[in-house]
Amino acid sequence: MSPLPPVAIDFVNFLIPAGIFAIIALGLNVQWGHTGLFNAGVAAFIGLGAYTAAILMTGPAPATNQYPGHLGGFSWPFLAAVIVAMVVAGVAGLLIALPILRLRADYFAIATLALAETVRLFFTNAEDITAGTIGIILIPRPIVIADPGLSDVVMAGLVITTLFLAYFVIQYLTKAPWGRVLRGIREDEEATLALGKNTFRFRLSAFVVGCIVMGLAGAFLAAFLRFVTPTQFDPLSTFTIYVMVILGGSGNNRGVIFGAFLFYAFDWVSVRVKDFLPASLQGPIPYVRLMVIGALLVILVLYRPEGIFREKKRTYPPVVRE
Amino acid sequence: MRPDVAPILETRDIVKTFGGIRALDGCSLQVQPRTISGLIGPNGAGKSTLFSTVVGLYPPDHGEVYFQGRRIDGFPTHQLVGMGMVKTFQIPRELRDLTVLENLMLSARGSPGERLLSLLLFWRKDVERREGEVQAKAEDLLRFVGLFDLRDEYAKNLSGGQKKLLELSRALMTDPDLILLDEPVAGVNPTLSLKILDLIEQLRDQGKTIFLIEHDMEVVMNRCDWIVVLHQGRKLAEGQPTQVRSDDRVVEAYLGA
Repeated sequence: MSPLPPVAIDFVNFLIPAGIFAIIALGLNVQWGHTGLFNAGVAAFIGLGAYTAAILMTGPAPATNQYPGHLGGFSWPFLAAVIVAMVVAGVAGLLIALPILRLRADYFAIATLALAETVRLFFTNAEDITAGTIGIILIPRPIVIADPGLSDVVMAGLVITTLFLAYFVIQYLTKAPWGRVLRGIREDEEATLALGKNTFRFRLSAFVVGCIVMGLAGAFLAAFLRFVTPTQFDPLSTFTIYVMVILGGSGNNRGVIFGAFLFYAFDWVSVRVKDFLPASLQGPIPYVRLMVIGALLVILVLYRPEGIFREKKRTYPPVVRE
Repeated sequence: MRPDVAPILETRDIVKTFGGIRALDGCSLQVQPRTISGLIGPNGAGKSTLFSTVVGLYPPDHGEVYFQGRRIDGFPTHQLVGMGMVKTFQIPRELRDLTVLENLMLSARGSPGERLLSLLLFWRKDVERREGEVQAKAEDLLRFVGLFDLRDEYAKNLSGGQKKLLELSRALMTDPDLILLDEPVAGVNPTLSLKILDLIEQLRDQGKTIFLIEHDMEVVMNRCDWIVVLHQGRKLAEGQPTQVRSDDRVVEAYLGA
């Protein structure tokens, strides 16, 4: 018996995924919100982080009649797995960006989408490594606690702490001159180049930083859900992150965190609304939910394209001279 | 006669084609340091293409470009800015959602805060000190061009003439020796136009070299020390304003009979 009331457990199970998706949104905000890079393969970098952490953290998983088995048995601690997950996502981002970053925005989007599908098909088909469609199971939590409720609370604490850390680092970097150049590139890359900035290098570093953050969030996702399957990383999940970023306000780091929480709150409420409806109305709820999300997005893009929180104007007090 | 000093900029036999159009067709010319040099020619003569080719935005198909005696064709634009050459755009390319001050601060050379490693290894003192210097310099330039009161305005909200001033001051933030100005006073009201031209003369007097494209003959004849006439992608004539004005070929090709 868990010592926590069900409502608290429920709330914690809202906080964890919302926090994880807020971290992903922060990563995408560096790429899309600040630099204007349309990465249509967000799912790939979350997935690479998630699978890397899953493989490193799990115990031996030999093939049995019920389970195909996967690469594993390393039983690494969470922290080490997270670091490697970030490195894997970052290196993958670097390797894919080098050849395609010079492409025009629309071709860049197609190339990253293709990457995401390739990675997902790899997860599906490299059965020896990933256990195929069944996925990797029995991933331990960062801190193993027998009581499931308490385990969730600790997980939520870790996720929220990491979200704050990610926010402070990204806020610091994007407020610095580095972020100023990224926004210049977003506004007009050629003009920024003509002002002496090596725009390729800045686009590359922004892309890799975003991918590292996505890998970080992927590792948390694996440890939270305790399993990973290829379907979690379909193109729809990339779309979801974009909704959060655009909803909250592209280019505003606090805004995109708010966007992620708002999106998840809507999700959470809409799932629970079902319990209060007669059985005859419960069936269409998942579809109505998607329709409402779609309609809200259209309204938002039409009437407030900058999102709920617009990008903050950065002003500097005049320099005081002696 | 033309002073016999080493040119700050020289192009040799530049060819640049776009599809079937030879925008530059063997263009060779020189720009002397510490002058205001004008580049004139009819529409389609290749003036803007020459500027873009010189600063590395379009690599030339053929030919050589020398800056301060060093061969630079094929160099990337950002490297050329670092060497002291910068170009403004004919139609202002302000960074719209950055403030006026940010547009200038971004343009400064050598900010350690633009490097991730410097930021992450906590050399914050360095970054902050340099930012202070950059901001002070940006504010001086904004006072120089008269945009100081608009420092915190989004660049997109400036008027057309103010955007021209922003282009110019942003280019000056890069500490250039040679400034290529593509129609710096086109579409600007007469008062502001005079102001910009006076600023350009001040810059020349400070030792900078200005190479500008301009269609207004009065401006070109009164303000330029030397004029190069471009026609069909190559140099047609050059000389002091009075010489160019009375050159029959120029009159025929450009000034009209």
